[in-house]
Amino acid sequence: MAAPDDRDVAVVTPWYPTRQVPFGGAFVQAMVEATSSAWRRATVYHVDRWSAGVSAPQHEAIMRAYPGLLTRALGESRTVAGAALRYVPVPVCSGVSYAEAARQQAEALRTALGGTPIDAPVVHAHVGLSGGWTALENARPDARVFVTEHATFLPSVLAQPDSRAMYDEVISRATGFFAVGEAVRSVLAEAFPHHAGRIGFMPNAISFGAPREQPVTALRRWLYVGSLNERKGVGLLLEAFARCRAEDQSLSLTFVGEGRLHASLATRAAQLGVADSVTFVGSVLPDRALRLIREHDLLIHPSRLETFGMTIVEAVAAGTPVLATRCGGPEETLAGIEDAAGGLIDVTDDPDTIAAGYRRLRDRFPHQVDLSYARSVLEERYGYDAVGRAHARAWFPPPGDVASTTQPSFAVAGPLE
Amino acid sequence: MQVLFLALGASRTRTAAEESAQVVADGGQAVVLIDQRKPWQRVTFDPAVRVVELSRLESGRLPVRIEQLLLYRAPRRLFRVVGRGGLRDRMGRLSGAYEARFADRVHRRLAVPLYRSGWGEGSHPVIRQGLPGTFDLIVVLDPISMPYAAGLLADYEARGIALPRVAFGLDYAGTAAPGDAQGALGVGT
Repeated sequence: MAAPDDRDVAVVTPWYPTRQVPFGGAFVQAMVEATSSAWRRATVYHVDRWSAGVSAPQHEAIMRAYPGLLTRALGESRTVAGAALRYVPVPVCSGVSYAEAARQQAEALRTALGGTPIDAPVVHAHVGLSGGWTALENARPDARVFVTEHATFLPSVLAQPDSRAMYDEVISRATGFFAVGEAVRSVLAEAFPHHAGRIGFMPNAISFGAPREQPVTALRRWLYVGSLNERKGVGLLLEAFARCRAEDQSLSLTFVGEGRLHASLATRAAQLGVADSVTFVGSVLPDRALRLIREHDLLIHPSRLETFGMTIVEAVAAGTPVLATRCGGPEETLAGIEDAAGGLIDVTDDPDTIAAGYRRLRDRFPHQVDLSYARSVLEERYGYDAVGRAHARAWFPPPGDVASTTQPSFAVAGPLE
Repeated sequence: MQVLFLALGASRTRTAAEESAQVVADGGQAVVLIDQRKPWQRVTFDPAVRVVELSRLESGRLPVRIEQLLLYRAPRRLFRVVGRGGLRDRMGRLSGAYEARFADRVHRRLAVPLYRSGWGEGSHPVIRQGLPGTFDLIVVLDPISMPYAAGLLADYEARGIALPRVAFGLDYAGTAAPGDAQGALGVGT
């Protein structure tokens, strides 16, 4: 059944999958798809920051050329679920504050739109400043603007006085403001106690397609999916893997993703004598990442800080057990089903924490792990239906249901309910 | 379809390689204009994609020739003259160190920004000479390429030639069939 005509939605986001960064903003794409039954027409405005370390004269030349190119270049393409996609690159000098970058992004979208506001009664932005401010500055006066914050770098944003002031204004002006999890919400509530009651939860949407055909029988093929940087704890993972492999030569480890630690990890793997059993796949498209999750026995997520941790939920959705750190997001997403999904470990600087966590999980697998139960619970929390309904209720509340937007608890993520 | 990719900033190498290959796979011709090869050493282009270095196209211009003479050719000659006999190895090392620590830095940080800042929009004669013919689509892949794109468009306009379309990525050029922005061009999301 077609949705009513007034159900047009615009999504403003600085992150969305591109050829250059296939994983970037995959959760926004999932949100668009998950909410497709709620909107009649959706347009995604991908306001992509193109940073460049250039001289002042170069920047001036760029900014002279940019508006004309932007006006000439814009056109709509299609993305998931029939939604339209408008790509708006924004040249931003390296080193400017988050607030200044957001102002430039808002101005760029205004130029792209020819000075007219976004033609939608509902605008949903992702990321507080670069998405939220851009949306608020370009929405129709009567539009209802919602914002979901995901960023792990939020403390850096709030450490800048101009960015903090702008953030305060975004929360004040938004119709509804959501955090993707408690790790984000607590930072915001502490920074803006006067807004604490207005910040709700809106989880990421995860596709629960068919799980793997053959269940995992032994936890031999380890997998990591994500960036190869310090925050993700990949160095500790490699050390832990080497220790466990010394006990079991059948173990292997696959790194999926790219990052500045790639070369040092490869070197360290050789030093540890495990280079033959460690594979670096590089960055892959989400479809291939899901295939790889199905082809491995265990997803290990050793991150130091995570606001949500999509790959963890995706792994359980695929029928693959997980071993994740209590780094913010995972203890929320897996609340109540930690043992059923695999296991949680503390964030430490000691690789033995990961190794010990693996041994504990290995010793109780598969009898004390219940992936089908974990999967069903997570689907209720993060499946497309659940997240689509949460958005629809915020965007188009039933008549008389003022609580949907004035009280934030309506979209509380599963584990907090 | 003739597509020119402007990738002078070398910040979106993966996009340049994938999208130019896509043009070729779809039966078109792709030219990727880069600044210098060095940042692209690890990037593999489809063999049918023509990759052109702007620095080579520019090398015939007088300011560049003067800069090359002062920064590289004259010092090399000096080191060769001084480095005869037993000093040859030592002068060779000194010459290498001079270029790495001084000449390359001056070239990169001072000379190039100096002449490029004036040449961006006015660089079309160099590009036109090096890349004769017209393009149906210009894909701008980074901020540094923007003045060059604007200059090329102004040149087309001034010469009364039909303006090429402009896009910030092949996926956003409107050539895709209905469906997924990336999937329509053969890359699933």
